Parts: sequence; C-alpha cells; structure tokens
Amino acid sequence: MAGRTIDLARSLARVQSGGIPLRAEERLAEEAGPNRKLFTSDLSVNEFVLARDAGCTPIAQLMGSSIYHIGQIPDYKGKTAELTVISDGHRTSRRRALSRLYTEAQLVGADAVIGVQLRDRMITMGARGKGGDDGGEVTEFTVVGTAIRAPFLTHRPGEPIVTDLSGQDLWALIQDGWEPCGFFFDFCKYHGWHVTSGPSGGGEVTTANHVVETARDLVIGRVTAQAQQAAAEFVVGSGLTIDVREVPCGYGGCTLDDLDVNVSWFGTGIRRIPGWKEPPGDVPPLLLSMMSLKKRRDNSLDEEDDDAADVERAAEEAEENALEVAEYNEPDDA
Amino acid sequence: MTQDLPKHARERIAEMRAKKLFTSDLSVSEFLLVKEAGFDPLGLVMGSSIYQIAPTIPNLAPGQPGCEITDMTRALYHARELAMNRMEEEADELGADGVVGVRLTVRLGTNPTKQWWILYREWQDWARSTGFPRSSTLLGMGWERWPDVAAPMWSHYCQQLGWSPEPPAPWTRPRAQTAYSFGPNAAEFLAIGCAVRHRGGESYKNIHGKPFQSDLSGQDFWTLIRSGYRPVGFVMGNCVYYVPPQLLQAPPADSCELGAYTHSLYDARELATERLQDEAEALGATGIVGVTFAEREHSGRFAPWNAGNGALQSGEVIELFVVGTAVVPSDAGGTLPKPTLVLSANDEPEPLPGSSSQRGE
Repeated sequence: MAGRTIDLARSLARVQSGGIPLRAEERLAEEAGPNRKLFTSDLSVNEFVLARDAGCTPIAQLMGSSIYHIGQIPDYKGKTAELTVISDGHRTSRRRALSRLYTEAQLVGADAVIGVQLRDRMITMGARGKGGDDGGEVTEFTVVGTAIRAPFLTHRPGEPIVTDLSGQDLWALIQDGWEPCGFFFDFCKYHGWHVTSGPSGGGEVTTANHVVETARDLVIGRVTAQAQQAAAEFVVGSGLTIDVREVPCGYGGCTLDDLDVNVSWFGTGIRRIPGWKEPPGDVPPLLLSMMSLKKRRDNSLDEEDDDAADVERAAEEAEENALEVAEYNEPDDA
Repeated sequence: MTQDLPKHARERIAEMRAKKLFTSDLSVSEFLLVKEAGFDPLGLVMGSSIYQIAPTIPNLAPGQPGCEITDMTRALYHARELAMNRMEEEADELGADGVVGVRLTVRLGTNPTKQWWILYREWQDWARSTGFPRSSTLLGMGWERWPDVAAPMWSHYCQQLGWSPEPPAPWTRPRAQTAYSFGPNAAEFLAIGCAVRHRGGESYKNIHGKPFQSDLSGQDFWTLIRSGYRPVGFVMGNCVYYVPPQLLQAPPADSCELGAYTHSLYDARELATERLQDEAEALGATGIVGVTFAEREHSGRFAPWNAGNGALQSGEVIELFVVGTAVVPSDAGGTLPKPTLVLSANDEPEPLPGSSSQRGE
C-alpha cells in the first residue's frame, strides 16, 4: 500500500493547471532514475521483440487522462453551425490528456510513446433530448501508451514523439525509412437545421450531405494544419469516426428534423528519416504462414462487467424518445 | 497447501498424472509452439472463487477529493488471488513448471436485480428493432414489472405474423451463458490455464518454488522464450476508488476540467501500478510485458429514471485493474532470428474480441 504522503492541495493545484499529480511524478522520476527496478510495458510480446530489434527499449507504461465538464449550451434552434462549446470541450479534454501523457514521457526521458490506446467514456449524459446533445455532459478521455528509448528517432531533446502506431507498425515504418513525428487529432460537433425532408419527395438530401461534408472538412483542415506545422509528409494509421444522428428541431409540430454530426480524427504524422538511403532489394517476399504468431483468440480480461456503457445508452434513449414524442405531436398533414 | 483442493480435483489430477493424458484449451499453433519451445502440456488447470463483496461507501470530509474503498480493493484482489492460488495448486500437483494462457474472468453480474435488468434491456432492444416506439418500452420506476408489457407485445407481434402456437419470446429462452444468482454483491472469479513442464527437466519454477503463471498465449510464450526471456509470474494490481458526486459538479454553463476527479483517477492508477510493481519485484522480475490496463465502472446503476445522470447523485465507483506477465532474462540468451518484412498472403484475421481498432495487431 502507498507509503508516501503527499501535499494534497499542491497536487490538486498541479492537476488544475494541466499538470500531473505529485505521486505520479515521483514514481515516474524514480522509474527513470538510477535505482530503477523494472520496466513495465503494455506491448505484446511480439511488439516487445520487434521494438527491441528496432533498437528500442521499453521504459514504463504511461497514462494521460482528463475528466471534463462540457458547458450546457442555450437552445440552438434554427441554426446550422459548429457547436463550438461542445467541440472545444472534447478537444480541450483530449489535449489535456495527451499533454499529461507527454509530461510523463518527458519525466521518464522517453524518445517516444508508442502503442497509444484511447478510451472515451461518458460519465453523465447532461442535457439530452430537446435538441439532441445540449451539452452539460461529463466525459473522460484517457490515453495509455508505452514509453520507449529509441536512439534512432530524430527529435529535439526533451520533446518525445507520441504515436498510436503499434510496435509492429513502427518497426515496419523504420525498415522503410520513415519515422513518426507527431500525433494529431481533432473533434467537431456540427448541427444542421431542418435537413431531413418529410415523407414526400425523393433523391439525395443535399442539405444533410452538406452538413456531414462541412463537419468533415473542418476536421480535415485542422488536422492538416497540425501536420504541416509538425513538418509531416503523410498522416497514417488514422482513426476517423463519423457519427450522424437525427434530432428533433425543437419546434413543436414541425415535420422537419435536424442533424447532429460528430467527427473525430486521430492520426500519426510520418516523415523520411533524414539521410536515409533506399537499400538495394526487391519487394518483400510473399508469405503464406501456416503457423500464425498472432495473439490468441480471447483476451485475459473479461470486459462484461463495465457499467459505463449504460450512460451512453441512456443518452441515446433520451434523444430517441424526444424524437418520437416530436413525431407524435406533428400535425397529420401528409 | 494441496489439502485446499476439492476431493474430486485431487482425484482427477492424480489420474491425469498416472495416465499421462492431457486436456488443454491450446489451439493447434499454440500446442505446436509450446512443444517447439521444449515444453509438454500437462493439462488444463483452473481455480475459482465465489466471493461476497459488501461495498461500503465512505463518508468523506468536505474538501476531500474521493478516496480508495480499501475493503472492496482487498476483496476483489483477494478473490482473484484465491482463484489463482487454486489453479497454481492444481498445476503443482501435476508437477508442472508453469501455466500458460492464463485467463482470469470476473463476473460481477450475479446480482439477481442486475440479471433482471439485463433481460429488460434485451426486450427493449427487440421491441426497438421490431418497430415498437421506444417510449412504450420505457417503464420508469415500474421497470421491474416489464413482463406485464412485454407479454402482450409479443402476443400481438406473433398474431400479426400469424405465428400459432406462439413461440417462446427471445428473452425467455435459456441464456448462452449460465446466470447464477448468488445474491447481491457476490462475484465469481475464475482462472483457467494450461499447465506445462519442461521436457529436459530444467526447472522453470519461480523463486518461491512454485510454477510460473502467465497470461501469454502459446505463441507469445514461444516468442518470449526464443528472445531470451522467461516468464516468472502473472502479476496484478488493483484499486477501487470512490468519487463523490460533488466532484462532478460544475457551473452549468462552464466548460472546464474536473481537476479533482482527474486527480482521483490518477491516484487510483498510482495505487494499482505500485501494487503491480511490488508483486513483480517480489518475484525478482526485471520487467513486465503485455500490461493490460482496464478501467471499469462498478456503480451498478440500473435506476432507469436517471441512468444517464445518476453519477450526479450517487458518485462513481471505479476500479483500475492492471495485469501483466513478469519476466526475467534467461541464462540461455536469445536465438530469435532477425525479423524481415514480408507480405502476408493470409486472410485478414478476425478482430480480437474487445480489441481496440486503434491498434494494428
């Protein structure tokens, strides 16, 4: 059990200003120091072996997390626009979580953090129903990854590279002369007013299309800007999710519905390793493996007992229920 | 120690030893690779523990940012330990050097109310996908009497389709998984693995003279042995933490980080990680590979009136659970050939259950 006592008020103040708690800092400093006892890594054995072959040594498992309250927003009836309060909330919480991961990586003297895994959890659903998501939610965003020493990576001293690439991916990239140079992300919540047509008519619903396109363009633009700033040549390993929901427009008796779009993007920027020369050789051989070295079919941990999914389900129910009520109240003109 | 095993388990193991017959849950590749690494599978070993956990929500002094529920941490830890010790004993009885492919499952869903709630959810899903309005299935406070609504709904549906006699409704059919009812607050812990022994008679037991345990698959085990390491134990650390509702409060219009909650999460992680490392150090390990980090929420809120915002009233109970395999470098050193890039002609493997799409495994 924890033997150390820490100054709680100071530790809390550190977190408030975007830092990491004192206890975590002390432990990580110890792990990177001369009295280091063991390494911890969340890499699989294959990744571990490959990463070692690529000249990496694992140091410690790191975490960055931020629990964020998103401000409740006033009625946005009749508008087509990005809901900046919600977008900013998600973005800030991600940035805070990643910056804590980065701080931890600096503390252990890492060259990079690889295999970053993300967890996004809704803790309370906030105001839901009337017009879809009206803010007021509490969300958790957590990233976990493994800090490694990788002497071949070029980066400014004290500025580790964070990437969601696995050990295998990193190894394959290095073989081909590429290195990661940054982790980019953005989030956009976009609301489109009166986009879904009524029961009559046919063809593409262009207004709805436009809403999805705009939201995607906004995110792509921001991620591209981040990539340019980090001098990345490509963005790989992208995790892009687009979540589209129909929500009531908020006017009683109106037949038209609104659209809520969530776009989230994570990706790793890569660039040529300076001074890298193409080795002589052909395309890698084609191999049909009889004995796979993949992981086994089941995980060691059973996830069935997590109650977190109930919150998202409740939020979904509240929205759909409001939509049904709105439809029920519609004047019967069809 | 072995007296702790049930009579029938002892008999089974004695018989397996005598007949040299082994049972295992290894896949073909795993079996061949475990053999190739110089080990013989001896048999499937398991241990289980059914444990009653009474959560006590502590009274917090004002200004205190949440705290660990030590009783519950200990209970969850102890129950896992019991299950794993029983598995270890079985392996020891078989004369094993170690256990590979250890899976540790925890089922907290043995609460009868929770099971009733799961069935209610299943009916709701069916009704929703069949086209009944969502509102007709939201029963609020009276949710426990849901069959009163579900039964006529199913009859109506069968009538519409002309099904006669009425087949049993999907939610009344037997479950694929056994659903025990041990009562509220009971949990089932189960550890299963495959016991192995080194063919050359080399001892792979850990510094306590016990068989090593590891959650590595046969493939991972082979790779690890070939790369010059050997597993010494399955190590874990956990922490159950209570976050009071005040920490979730913020002025409604403000977008801000909930620093005290974030701090609590970190605190829980620090405690769990420290315990993981203590265990590994006690085994004399130099590192831990394959660390799995799980964060779970154990509030057990099936209060339908505010499931979405329930945390604002009752706070949250989170558990951080970290497990991994402790390793030490072996004397033999590594003989793994240098990996080369190849293009795989294999079919795309099926995604692992519960695996994150962010990771190209």
